[in-house]
Amino acid sequence: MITSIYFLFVFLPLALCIYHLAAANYKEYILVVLSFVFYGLGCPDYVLLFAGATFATVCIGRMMHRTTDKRMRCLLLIVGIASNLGLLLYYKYKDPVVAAFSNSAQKDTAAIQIVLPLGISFFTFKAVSYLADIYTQKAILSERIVSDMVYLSFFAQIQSGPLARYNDMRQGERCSFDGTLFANGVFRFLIGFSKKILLANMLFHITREVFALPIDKLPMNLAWLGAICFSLQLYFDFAGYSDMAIGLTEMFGYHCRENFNYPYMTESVTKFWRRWHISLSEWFRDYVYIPLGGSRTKRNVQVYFNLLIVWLLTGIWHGASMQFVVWGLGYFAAICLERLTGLPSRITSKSGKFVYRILTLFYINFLWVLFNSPNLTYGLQFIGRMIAGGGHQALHLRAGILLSEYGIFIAAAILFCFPVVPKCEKIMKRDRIAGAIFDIIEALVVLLAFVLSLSFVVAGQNNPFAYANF
Amino acid sequence: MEQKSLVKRIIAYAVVILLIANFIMHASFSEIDSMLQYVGAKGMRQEEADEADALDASYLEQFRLKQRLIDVNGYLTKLLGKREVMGMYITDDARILTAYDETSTDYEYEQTVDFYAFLKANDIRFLYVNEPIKYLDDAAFMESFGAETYSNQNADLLLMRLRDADVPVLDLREELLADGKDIGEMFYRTDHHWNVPAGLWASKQMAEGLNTYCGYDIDVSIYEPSNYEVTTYEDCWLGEQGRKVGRTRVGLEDYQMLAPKFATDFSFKSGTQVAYQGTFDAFLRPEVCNAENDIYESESWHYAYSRINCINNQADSGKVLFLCDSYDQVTEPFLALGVHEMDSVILRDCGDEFPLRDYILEQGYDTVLVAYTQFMIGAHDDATSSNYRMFTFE
Repeated sequence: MITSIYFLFVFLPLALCIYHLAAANYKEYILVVLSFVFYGLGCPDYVLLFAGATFATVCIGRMMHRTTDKRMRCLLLIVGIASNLGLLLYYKYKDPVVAAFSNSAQKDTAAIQIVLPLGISFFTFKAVSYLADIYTQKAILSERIVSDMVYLSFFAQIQSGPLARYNDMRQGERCSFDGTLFANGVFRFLIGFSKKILLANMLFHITREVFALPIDKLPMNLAWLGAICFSLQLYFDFAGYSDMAIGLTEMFGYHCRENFNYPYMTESVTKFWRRWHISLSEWFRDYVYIPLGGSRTKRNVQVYFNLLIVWLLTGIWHGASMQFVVWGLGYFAAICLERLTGLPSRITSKSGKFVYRILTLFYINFLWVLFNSPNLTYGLQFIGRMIAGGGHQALHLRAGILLSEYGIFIAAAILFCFPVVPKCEKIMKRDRIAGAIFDIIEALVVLLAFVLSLSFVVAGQNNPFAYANF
Repeated sequence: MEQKSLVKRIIAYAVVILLIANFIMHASFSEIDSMLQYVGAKGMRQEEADEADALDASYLEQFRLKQRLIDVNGYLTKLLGKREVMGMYITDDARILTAYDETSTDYEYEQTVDFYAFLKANDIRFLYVNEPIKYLDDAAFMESFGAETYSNQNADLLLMRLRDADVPVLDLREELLADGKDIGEMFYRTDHHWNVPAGLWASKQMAEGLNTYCGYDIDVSIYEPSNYEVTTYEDCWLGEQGRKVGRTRVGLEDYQMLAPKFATDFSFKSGTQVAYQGTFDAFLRPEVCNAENDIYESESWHYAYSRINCINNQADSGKVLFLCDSYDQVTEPFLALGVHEMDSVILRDCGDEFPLRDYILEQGYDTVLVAYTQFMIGAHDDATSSNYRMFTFE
């Protein structure tokens, strides 16, 4: 939605004008109203539910904050979390569960097609962290209740995160306009927009085509191309969205935590999740793994059990179907293996470490195949094709044509998986003039990329965020 | 926090100022009302989810930078040598092609055979005409673009089955090859329709088909190109496909308008009643052919010919119901030159309740001519297709 022309040319300028022209006392109220309008544009049927859930969560949080009775605080925490998780379970998991347990002939497909409330998974996790942080007194609450409403409903983060924490939305700065923060935000937004449109959307053409092929037709080379392109597409789609969300957050005077740090540079599967969807990993760490005992339990088995719970939940959070469960368990298995064997730390040679990195990327790539498959069987058969080959011979040709058609986008995507721009910046900024030239070139490239991205959106080559359904 | 350089800050502010300026100058604030109305809407279900983009689509319609940005996009795709744009395939000579899915042809076969039996039982003659798409060889398409397409294979299968069932069939692809025609010259590069000279040629083939299969005696010499006045417009319009990929990607299109040099005399009908008298010129809409028109927003020049139910006062025999599609904007007027009375119907424009067979009997047609572009075959596989009903002859 935030890549739509309507958002860019109507909602955003309107929101910026109203917000920044308003008196400081009204800014947060305006932001809440804007967020509800934004939610209503994306999901009109659930805007009242969203407003109600936000208000109820804030009420419970504030009541918990005021009371000193431990049992009451605990009760409020349970009620708050249970009601939010209840909404998530009802909307996200009711239909898949009903479908799984009912006779296929009796499946009510109309019920299955109910639209999910926009960003319900992200909202629920933010609500849980808000309530838990109040309970543990980590959250430094603002004097104004409306600040809590802003945190839970802020339109920039509601669709796909990042899963900011209450304290991230630093107080006080909203009252005065911070030009540097604003300019950084705009620039970050432009970069994210270009990542999404110029890279993720282009690669989506390949992945959509490849993953729509019947398995019996899928040749090996096309399967590999589709799998690699999906890894790249998902990264630039989600990282692009995160950049835009962070940029928007900064445009409205708030700070936001980072969500990606060149994940495909990872040394191991374990470290991958310290670079990919960082806010989700940290959420599971802080609100599931550590409360379960984390790594500091006396029994080693308990640690693995805790990890199992975390990765099962991570899988199920992404979707109530077997391929997501297996996807989560795939990470659990790899992380356990690395923990048990001490890999890759035990590898001393550079070449060995490099090989391990490549193997890690292959493994992650296979798991992304499951992630993007309509069901577990298709995903496993797809991986089988990647390894064993087969498929429609005539379609071998297609991989070459797709490569020549989208080669420049694939190359750019691979290049920007690595921190080439920060490296160049670091080198050039050793010299003042070279640094200035770098700034000019970077700014112009970002501007050009934004215009080209706009052209793709206007030409109708836009598509929803891959993470919009979670 | 890292402080952005002055240049970056200037650019950041410039972008925001431009967004706000566009918002004010183009009165985008008028959208606020529709935005709030939309937010108040209820009952969003999956089948209506597409409407979630309705605001964006309607704003885009009037978005002033739209055409410039499409042109920018066209430059970029040309620069990158992209041959696949928005599901369309662009050849080196800037012709835009489309791939089509495989189909069993069962529905089309069963409906046509049953319809033919009904007509035969009522002593009404029938001819099925297969109109080609922009390429004749699916394998060559696959070789060129690496994408599967089945349109010609679907047509081959359906026509073979119809011929086996003794249904009269005219395959214009065969006529085209027999005449040594170049398919590339018969279609607009930037539009899926065939051009006017191709329409005239096809009309001649259909007239010959009526003579061969339906016992007509049309003088097909009236379809010789030398009998027509040609008005040529160069680099003047952009077809429906070209508008999506941009003029900068495929360039503008030429247009030829043909009108008979010989005298014509028609009675034109509104519905089934004669409404006015006129000549062939009544079929023409020269106002569409205005090179000054906005190439992106104006009506497609293909529709510079109208389909009008008519009586040709210079022809003695034949009352034909022409079941057709938009390709026949440029065949019906020419074909009507050889037949006494001709009405046309596009089934996708008729509701489910349209009683086709009753209508045929009520109007007393002696011939039903079905002429469909071959991508109609298989449209019934997709219930959301606008062409879903084209083969429902009930």
